[in-house]
Amino acid sequence: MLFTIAWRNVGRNRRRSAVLAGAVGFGMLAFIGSTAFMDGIGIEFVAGAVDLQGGHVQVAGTGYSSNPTIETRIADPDSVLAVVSALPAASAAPEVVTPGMANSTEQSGGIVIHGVDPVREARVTVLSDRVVEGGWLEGGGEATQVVVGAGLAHRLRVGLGEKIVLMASDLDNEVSAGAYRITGIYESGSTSFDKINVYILLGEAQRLLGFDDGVSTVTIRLELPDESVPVARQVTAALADQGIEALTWEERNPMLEMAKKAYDFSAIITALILFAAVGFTLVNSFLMVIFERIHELGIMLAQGVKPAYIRRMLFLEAAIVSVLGGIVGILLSVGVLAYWIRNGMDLSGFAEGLGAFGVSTIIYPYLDWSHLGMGFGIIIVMVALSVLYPAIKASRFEAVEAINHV
Amino acid sequence: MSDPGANGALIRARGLTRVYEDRTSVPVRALAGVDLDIRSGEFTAVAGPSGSGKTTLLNVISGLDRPTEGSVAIDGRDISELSRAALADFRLHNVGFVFQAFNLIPVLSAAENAEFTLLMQGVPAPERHRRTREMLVQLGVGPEMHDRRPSELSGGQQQRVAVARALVSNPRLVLADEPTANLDSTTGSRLLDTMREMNERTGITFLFSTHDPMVMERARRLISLRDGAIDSDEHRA
Repeated sequence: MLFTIAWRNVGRNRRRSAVLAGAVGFGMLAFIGSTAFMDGIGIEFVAGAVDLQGGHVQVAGTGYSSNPTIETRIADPDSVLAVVSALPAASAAPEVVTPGMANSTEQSGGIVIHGVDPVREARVTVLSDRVVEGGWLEGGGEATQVVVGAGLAHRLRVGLGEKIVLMASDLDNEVSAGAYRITGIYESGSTSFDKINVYILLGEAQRLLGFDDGVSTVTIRLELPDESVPVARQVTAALADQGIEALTWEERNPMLEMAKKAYDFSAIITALILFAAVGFTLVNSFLMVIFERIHELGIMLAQGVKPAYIRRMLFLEAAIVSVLGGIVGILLSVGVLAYWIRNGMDLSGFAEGLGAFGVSTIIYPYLDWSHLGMGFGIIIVMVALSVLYPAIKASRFEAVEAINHV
Repeated sequence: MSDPGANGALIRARGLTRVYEDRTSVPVRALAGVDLDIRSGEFTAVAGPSGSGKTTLLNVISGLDRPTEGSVAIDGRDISELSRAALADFRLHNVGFVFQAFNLIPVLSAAENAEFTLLMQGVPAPERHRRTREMLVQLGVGPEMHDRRPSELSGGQQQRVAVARALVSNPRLVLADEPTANLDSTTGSRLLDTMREMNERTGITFLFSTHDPMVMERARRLISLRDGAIDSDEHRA
């Protein structure tokens, strides 16, 4: 009977109940939407740091991460590869990295030159899959092949098959240069990344910088990303005597980690503010509900109904509204997010800052089903808190005064 | 509630005084030292002009209100000092109410309203349904009306449902505050006859507040209040 009374009371003023459920649903949409959006950014953050360059763990000479110069290098990359090969479910790729200049016949600009083993690199980064024109580097192909980002190609006003000149300082601080033919153009998803990163063969980069067999870094990708920290510690311990250290992607990108936490925090604050606003609406509405029904509640109290029964009835009414609102919120969330989950949300027009972190400006919201449950839980707690004061107030009415209330 | 009062009275009120006062107005003495005994099974009307203290007397006797001074004992148990929760429990098991404005719960059907007290008492559903439907039929509320909401019933039908609600739990005492005030004379007369018949058949004590001559005619005891005090107390055959 309690549920029957509560359910029918909810139906007494359908318009108000619909508005209340709508407010709850809107709060749910805001929570799920903001967390899905922030999760999407988080995924892009990780993708930017892990998938495009650096992997889950990056091995380099001690101090390279804070001061990446060509002097700080790994003289014997095979020893690193041997350590990594002993790790379960790990892939590794050596890489030479150096700042440099790219010149076309019309334009020039600063770049970062990456010398990579095409096959190994394809196992640790996603760039080989992001080539939109031409193809990825070929190990047995011409030594002078180069793959550039679409942004750089546009900046230099060059296209597939055209030549550019890459220049860098070698180990002797002499300018070293070479002409390279563009065999592939990629679009990583991060416009800023595409404007500065070019890829040539590892041997060609070593020749350009006078590295012999040395490399700047060895990138490790793990099948179990949560193993990053122990793997980094293990590799560092194995190679410390060679002046080599291994860092996780979080350690290499402290700003990135801070930015991710800041995004997450702002999402939570935003959601809490929205929930608080919805909560005050609910308090106000339930107070109205109670004052409209003072006389009726007085009759119930006169008949010997316990104050706790009145409180339970109002809590149940609130729970019904919140469950209805929660369902509305989930349906709205899934409906609104479905398009962006499929097509991505293009923030390039007003979120260039993301690109500074090497993060794609096209964000794919990630709908974590546990967030639906969390949202529902927050709604239930919020509604319970919202109805607490009105319910206590209602249960404290003196029956005789409530009966005489007009 | 098994032991009657020392003098055999169901209700024993002594020195009942109720003063209403707030900071903004002059204190109002609604009851001024009322002494009253009502025996079990009486069919009593409390009459008097508006403001004479009729409703206040019923409220204090039922435990809805507390006296400023004096005491009320029901079946020998002083209810003046009971806690709020204990008073609610006392009313639930001992007092049925019939109000002037019917006061049914609008979202419940006639049958659900009538069985509400039994539900609160924790009576099992099958017994609850049986007793409720029997009581409704006895009071002239046919099965075709059991599932109707209050808004779908006439005033007389609503008051019959309210009486069923008050009687179905077989309380010691039914307090009826001007129960015929919102009914036409024919409907009111029939309802009073039914209540009198229930009183004679079940022995439930009825206490009315009224200024309706029909109620006063049917009462076997008529108490007149004036200015919060008993002006006359007439027992009839």
